[in-house]
Amino acid sequence: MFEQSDETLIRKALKGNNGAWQKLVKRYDKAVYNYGLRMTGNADDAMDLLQEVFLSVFRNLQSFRGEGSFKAWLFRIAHHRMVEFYRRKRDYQPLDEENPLVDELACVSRLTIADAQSRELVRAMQQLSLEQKAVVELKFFSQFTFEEIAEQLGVSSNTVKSRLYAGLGKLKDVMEVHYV
Amino acid sequence: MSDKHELFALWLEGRLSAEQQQVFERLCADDDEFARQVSLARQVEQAATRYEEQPVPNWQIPAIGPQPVADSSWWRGRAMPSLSFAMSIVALVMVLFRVEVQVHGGSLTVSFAGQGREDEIRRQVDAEIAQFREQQQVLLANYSREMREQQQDVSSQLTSYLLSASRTERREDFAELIKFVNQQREDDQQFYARQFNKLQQQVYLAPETGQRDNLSPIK
Repeated sequence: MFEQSDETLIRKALKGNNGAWQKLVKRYDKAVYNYGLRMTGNADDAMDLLQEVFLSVFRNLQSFRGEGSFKAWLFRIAHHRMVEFYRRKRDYQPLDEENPLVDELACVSRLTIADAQSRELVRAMQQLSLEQKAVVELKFFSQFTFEEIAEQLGVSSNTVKSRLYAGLGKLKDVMEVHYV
Repeated sequence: MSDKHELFALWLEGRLSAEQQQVFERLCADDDEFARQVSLARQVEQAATRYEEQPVPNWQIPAIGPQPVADSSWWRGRAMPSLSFAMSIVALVMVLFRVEVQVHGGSLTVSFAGQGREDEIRRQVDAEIAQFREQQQVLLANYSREMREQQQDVSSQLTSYLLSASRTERREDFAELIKFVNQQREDDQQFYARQFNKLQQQVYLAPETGQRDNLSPIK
């Protein structure tokens, strides 16, 4: 009926209201968990990412100034944790176009995604570089605008558009190869 | 970024104008690669829409306590930014004018354009020269003292040598003199012995011949 806004819950949480904090987390934990599932292709990694993201939110909540939406701020944190996750996983690999971070270890088949087309898409996404995968994820699944994605990833919106176009091109190749 | 990417992005967000829509449709008809991208984007959109979000496994949400509320006092809201800006300007001026602050011997020196550094260098050079001068003076004093001591040693050695040499010569001269005197005495003794022998012979012979009065003088 009367759902409290994110700003209200944040204000209450900052005053130490644990109930408001729990509501805030419950409102977004599913989105973050599924973001992690699609980005890593692994339920355990998605769960680790979920906990790390909300731990960062917990620590930095007072620095949230309310200049953008809480969801956009939350997903910016999620993206940073995701980059750290990939760095940890590969020890270290430069985040450039020549050395894209492709998660070849992702095990999508273990995920219980009912829709075959969705499952195939998530599987194909694992072949993209982290940058391309993040753009596809944030655009199609999380429904952010290009401007919001650019702000979250710390790049220009033109770069985001180019990455999406290139990512879709690679996605097409991967899916065609799989069907053949 | 190409126009195609821009057009594609506008289409995805549903913000194509009528004119852009016409260009987009023409591009879809003429450009197979672009048409395939559009088709794939539609598929992905559909798949994303049909994607059923997975339930989150049970997890322990961390409990939150009272958070320190952001301090909204005037000095933090207004004075701090102004102060930060002023300090940045001061820092900029200090860098541009090469301001140097030095604490030396209990005195604080502020200098501009590297003057302080030149003074510091001059001071260090002067100190080095003074130290060098002191070292040289000490070395010279030591050297002259050693020379003096060496000369004294040589003089005393020469004196003692001269003394000992003259003493030896005198001893040798006396020995020669004594030897000469002894030789002379020996010669005299032999002479007198011969005289006595001759006289003795004359004395023994005189009673026999009765010519004691005719004794010849000893020669």
